[in-house]
Amino acid sequence: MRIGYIGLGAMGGALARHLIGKFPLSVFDLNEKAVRAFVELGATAAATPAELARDSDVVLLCLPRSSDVQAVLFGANGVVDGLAAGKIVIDQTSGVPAETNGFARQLKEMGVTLFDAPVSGAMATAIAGTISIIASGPHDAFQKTLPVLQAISPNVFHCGERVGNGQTMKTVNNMMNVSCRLATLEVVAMGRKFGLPLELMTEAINATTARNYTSQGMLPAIAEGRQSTKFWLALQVKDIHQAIGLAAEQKVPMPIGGAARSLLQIGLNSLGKDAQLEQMIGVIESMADTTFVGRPKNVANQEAK
Amino acid sequence: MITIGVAGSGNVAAFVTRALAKTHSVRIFDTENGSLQCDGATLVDDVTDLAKNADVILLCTDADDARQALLGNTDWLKGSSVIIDMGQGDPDTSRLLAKDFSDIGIALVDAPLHTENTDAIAEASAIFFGGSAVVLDYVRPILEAICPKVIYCGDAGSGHAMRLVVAAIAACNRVITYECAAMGAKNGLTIADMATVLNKSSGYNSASARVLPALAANGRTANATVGNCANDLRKASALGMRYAAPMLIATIVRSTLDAASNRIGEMANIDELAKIWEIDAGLPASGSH
Repeated sequence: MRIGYIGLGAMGGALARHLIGKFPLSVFDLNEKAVRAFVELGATAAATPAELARDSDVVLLCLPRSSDVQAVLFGANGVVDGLAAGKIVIDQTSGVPAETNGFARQLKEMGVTLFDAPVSGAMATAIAGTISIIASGPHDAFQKTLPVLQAISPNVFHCGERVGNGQTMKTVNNMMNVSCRLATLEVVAMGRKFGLPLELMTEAINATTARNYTSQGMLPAIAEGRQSTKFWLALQVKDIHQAIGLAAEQKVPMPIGGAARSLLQIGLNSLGKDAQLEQMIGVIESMADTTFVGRPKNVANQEAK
Repeated sequence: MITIGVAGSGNVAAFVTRALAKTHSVRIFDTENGSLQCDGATLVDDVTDLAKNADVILLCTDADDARQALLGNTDWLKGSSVIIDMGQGDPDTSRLLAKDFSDIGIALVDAPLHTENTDAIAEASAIFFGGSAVVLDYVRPILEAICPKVIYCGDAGSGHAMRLVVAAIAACNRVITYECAAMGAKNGLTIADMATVLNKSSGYNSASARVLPALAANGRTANATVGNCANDLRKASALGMRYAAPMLIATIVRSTLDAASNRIGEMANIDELAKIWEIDAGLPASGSH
């Protein structure tokens, strides 16, 4: 099976690296430096998405947004110019499910199957090859390309035949992660103002039904002075906007999601477009006027002042 | 053998009494007359009698007024040396009370139990101890007979503060799980798929790990009530306001739980919160996913 991979950014690059040496691999990215790094490892550089598609049986995409996917698929020298009946396109972008479903319908007319297989997990898990891949779409195409996905990570899930379910699942996951993350940080900031040590709160939270991904990963990292996430805050805001949009389309109230979105937007507005998700720790600290480590600034009862 | 005098009422108090009666001599004063009867424990009618014949007094009630009445009058405690408050008090008030009690020679410590399910006490429950470490050494066997996980949190009041932190985040986990799962279900995902994928991804939390599989199987995860959960969040919100700590999400969760308590009743099991999201998101009722 000849594989083509388009989108060698931080996440796409980490995923595509697992395919080197396991499949004949051609790559395409606007960033020439990223392409050169893959060529040095044995991949072939394609001049255009169309050329990559012509030389591949399976084309994988990992791009920032659904609008980028549309451009790469249907733009000048796009993937569709190199596709033929029987080929398979796997979209690993954190895209909009309805738009991805629309791309799949368009490609189906030319006998090409497109399904979504976004990933969920920290960059470290992408590099380690343990990230979760959440696929959805026609079962036959999924089974045929499963060895490719499993070369990226053995943790592959299939969430139904409807294209876009994988991206919906990822969106639900993002929303759950962000909401729990911000709730945990806010409440722990309150505990700090009372005078409780972070390490002790972390132990208490993780011993009980309060535990979550943040309490097990980010809180210990803060206490040890380590970084626990590596993700652009602007992309996180985009993901959460997408979740709120999905909720609104289906008339599902998400008051907590709305508050989480607002907090992230406050962070992005105050820190700037180059901010990292990790910097939300400082935003929560400043909003509570406290610190997670060391002696909290205000341990006194504020009402008593 | 140490004799423990338990004063209180409610489901948690009944659980505590049953647990202690297996290994200790237990005397009970039921502040609401009825819920604390237990084989192997002696029921007393008079709180002064309870104190006179007990080595350690343990207050355990989810009724704030009963707890305050017991702690507001120390006459019945003459001769007592250690009082363990397992209810959920305000941490600052607990600090002040502990000092007042210390002045008359009584060690008042706070040791609230956080649990959503007393039937699975060893899995995700803990007692948070606030008070003298020396007193903890003395009462630890009593507390460990109730719950194997006991965490020392610092001076008096710290146990109550820690439980509010834990209760608030636990409630956020649960409410966030319902909200996000409702969005996923309305967009075509099955609860079973969400239970599988989310719990192996960064969306994992204690509630998603228990609630989603239970929803898919029409099962139960808890025996705590919506009213008690809402009460914890009100106290956490009050503490946050007092210390100028904004908690946007926990405040929404507090409001959500208050609204739920009004809609389905404060005695409703917290698993019944799923009904709220099913109705509000226009989903089919549990069991039909």
